[in-house]
Amino acid sequence: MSSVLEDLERFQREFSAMMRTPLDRSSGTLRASPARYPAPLVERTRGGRVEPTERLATYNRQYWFRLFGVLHNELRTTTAVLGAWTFNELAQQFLLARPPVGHELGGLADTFAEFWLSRLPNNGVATPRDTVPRDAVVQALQIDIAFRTAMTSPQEEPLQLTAADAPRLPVSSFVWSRSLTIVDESWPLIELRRQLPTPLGDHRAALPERLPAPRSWLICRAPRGLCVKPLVPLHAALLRLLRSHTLGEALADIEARDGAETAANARRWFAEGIELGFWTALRGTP
Amino acid sequence: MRTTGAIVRGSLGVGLRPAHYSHIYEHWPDVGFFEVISENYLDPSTPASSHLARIRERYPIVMHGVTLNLLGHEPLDETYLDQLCRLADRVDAPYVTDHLCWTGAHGVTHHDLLPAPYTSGLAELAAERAAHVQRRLGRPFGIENLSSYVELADSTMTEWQFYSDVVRSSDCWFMLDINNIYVSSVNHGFDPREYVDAINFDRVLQVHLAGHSQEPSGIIVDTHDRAVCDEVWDLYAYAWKRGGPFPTMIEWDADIPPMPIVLAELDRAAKVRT
Repeated sequence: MSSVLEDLERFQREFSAMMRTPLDRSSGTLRASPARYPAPLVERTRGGRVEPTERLATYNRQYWFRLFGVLHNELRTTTAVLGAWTFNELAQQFLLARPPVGHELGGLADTFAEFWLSRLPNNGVATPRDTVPRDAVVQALQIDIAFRTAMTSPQEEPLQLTAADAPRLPVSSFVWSRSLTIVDESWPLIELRRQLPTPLGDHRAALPERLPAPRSWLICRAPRGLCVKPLVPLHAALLRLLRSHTLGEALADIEARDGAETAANARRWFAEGIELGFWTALRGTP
Repeated sequence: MRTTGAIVRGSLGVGLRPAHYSHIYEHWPDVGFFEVISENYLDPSTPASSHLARIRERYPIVMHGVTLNLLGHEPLDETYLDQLCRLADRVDAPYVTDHLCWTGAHGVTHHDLLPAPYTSGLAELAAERAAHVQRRLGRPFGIENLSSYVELADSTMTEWQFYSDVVRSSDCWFMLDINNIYVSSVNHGFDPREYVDAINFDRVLQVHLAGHSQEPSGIIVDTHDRAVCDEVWDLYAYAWKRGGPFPTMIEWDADIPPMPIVLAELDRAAKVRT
């Protein structure tokens, strides 16, 4: 049996190298490069009416286009902002450095984002048409991952407050729903995402005009579906404070900024957060 | 051997895909069973698993995996098998299936169903592993024939001889994909009926049907992105005459149409075999 496994190991090493051979971009379209396939593999592949290298190239192209397709679906905003051609270039570099290791394909999008968020050039990403500012690519990635998180994070029971919780609320902090992310945008990327066709295909979206000021959105899975909510700056500030402070501390901070009207809003925002399931439990209460 | 919630031999099922959840909840269509891609539901805490639990209340669920790596050079992933067993228990699956192929090597997953040389030594290895999987699952394990685009010069037997050897030696079952037989027959120039004739239909757990597409090179690729073609329906009718009844399921995994279009394929299957 050991010789069977040894032969299999050698065969699979060569076949894997063939599958992962990068597609050539020099002609302006993505093409397989059969000349780079391991010679012993080509020699042991039968031909017939189709050449052995063309048969192998079917697997090589499928490998790349399947993974590109998965990333396009999971990272729609980023793909649209960069265009498929440039996105695929980033995807190929990423997949050569970090090939898939698990059975869960969607998780590739998370590692793609993690990989590129720390490597994007400061002067932006050059496409055949223009250069997309680094911040726009970063924000597009963050928005895509926020949507993915909202759709795929584990099911959790939302926090249900009772009358008995009232006295301890000011000194409580919150366990946040894992589906919730607050993202910032300097371009109207969430609106752009809403307008993208399905399937995305080769659609390239022009980057919209930069907003006069950045704005924040909350994205989470709510009891009645996906919640995508624009946040006024103080609302975003309150939610961010609640990540690290008790409710009492966060409300005091917000009220100190803008007085009684804000205090009323803050209480309304808090009640809305309970209703939409932003939190799953109270933490740090006696 | 535990066989629970058995599927009726002639029943017709479809692949459960997220794009169809809302149609299912609205219409509760008349299908014999749903087949799930096992890997998509291994984690019981995800929203996908909540959908599965809801659908399981009304339909039998069978499990079809894509990453077992039965022909991989590395040992089977026992952690993955643990997860598979838990899912099978959770949905009370009457049987579980995966492919006679390898899907990754040297720690990397290729997310494709890949061929290997058909030799008696590899058949022996595959049978040992398949028998182990079936023991672990405690329920019938069906092995699916794959569609392939290459044949290897060091193969010493036909694909159907290799396939039958593995099923017989492991005491497992055929998860017979009729479209895959057709795809490989065109790509490699053999008679698909000769393949069907070699199958022991007493050991067929289920049959798959799907659509495929053709590359400019002439190679047919198993894309599951369209309706079943006439040639595959003809081969299905031939298989049904030889070995029916057996449960039949339509796979549609890319460019997924509204559910009524998939259900129309089930109607066609019912017509083809009468």
